[in-house]
Amino acid sequence: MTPRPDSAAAAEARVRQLAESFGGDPARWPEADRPGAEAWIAAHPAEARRLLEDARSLDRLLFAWEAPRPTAAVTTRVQAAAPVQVRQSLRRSWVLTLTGGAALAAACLAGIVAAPRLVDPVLRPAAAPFYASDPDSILSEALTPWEAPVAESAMGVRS
Amino acid sequence: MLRPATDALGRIHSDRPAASPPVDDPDADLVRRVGTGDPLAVRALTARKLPRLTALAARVLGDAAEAEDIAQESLIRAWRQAPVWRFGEARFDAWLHRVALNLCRDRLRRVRPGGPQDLEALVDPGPAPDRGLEASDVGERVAAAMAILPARQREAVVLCHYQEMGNIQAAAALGISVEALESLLSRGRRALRAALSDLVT
Repeated sequence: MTPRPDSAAAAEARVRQLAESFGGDPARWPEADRPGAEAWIAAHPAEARRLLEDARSLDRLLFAWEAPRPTAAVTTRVQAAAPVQVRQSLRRSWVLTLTGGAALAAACLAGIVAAPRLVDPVLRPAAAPFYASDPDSILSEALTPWEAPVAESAMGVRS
Repeated sequence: MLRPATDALGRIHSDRPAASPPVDDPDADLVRRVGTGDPLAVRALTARKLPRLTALAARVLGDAAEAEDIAQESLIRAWRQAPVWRFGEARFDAWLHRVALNLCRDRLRRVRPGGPQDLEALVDPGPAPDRGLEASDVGERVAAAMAILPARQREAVVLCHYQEMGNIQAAAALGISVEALESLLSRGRRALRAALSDLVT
């Protein structure tokens, strides 16, 4: 007997998993798995038949449980509810859009009105003598500590 | 040269997250028309979804009358959703199944706070051993076996086996990954096989 390559064994294991989870019909398996699984099934028909038949026996049993059909009364009730529900939903969405837009507009307006008041105290201190001074006095105030030594040394004054 | 990783069936796995493309939804046109109040579209969507939702709820709850209530409430929510539905983000059918499943879970919590054990008590365990097994009996046996599955396994089997949803859609409806869905299905079917072992040929 020739040993089977690992990939074939892995493919068989995956086909077994798929049959155990999704049943014996490959058409119901995840699309991404199908091409590889079908290739393995085609290459190993006898093993595949055994494996799939085992899963199909459970599928057939499960299909024996039939679900009830909806009654005419519930069909009528559901359809009759549609116009009101659609209208209410549309109205709610318009109201939300309008109130959202109005809220945004109000927020923008409030921002425009309030902005100067909010910004003013930051940029302009209440009492601002320094900014109010003329540039010459500012310069002389700033240089005062440095002027004396420079002047004394320049005039040859000895201490 | 780097090659993308592949698994046993040759599926390519990439580390790079793919940008999700717009979802192709076979119900999109009907939903759009329902959203404008088109009565023909309402009728068509009812015909398409009401039987599915009734079957879903009946199999999850094990009760036909409650199933009808759930199906009705789910479709009423669908009418509300249609005008504001965001097309391309999800399939309407998966959303609708999620709504119905949530309603079923609420109902089970309210009516049967004990969970599956209580549900088991409500179901006929099957025919007496001296009676032959007819087709309807087999259905009842399956219903009983489904009823004792843990809720998530039951939901997974109902979505994939009975509702014929693909793995991606079923996982979306349950709010879980496709791997988690596969695990639930595998465990659920194994438990069903064990419960119905005398019938599996």
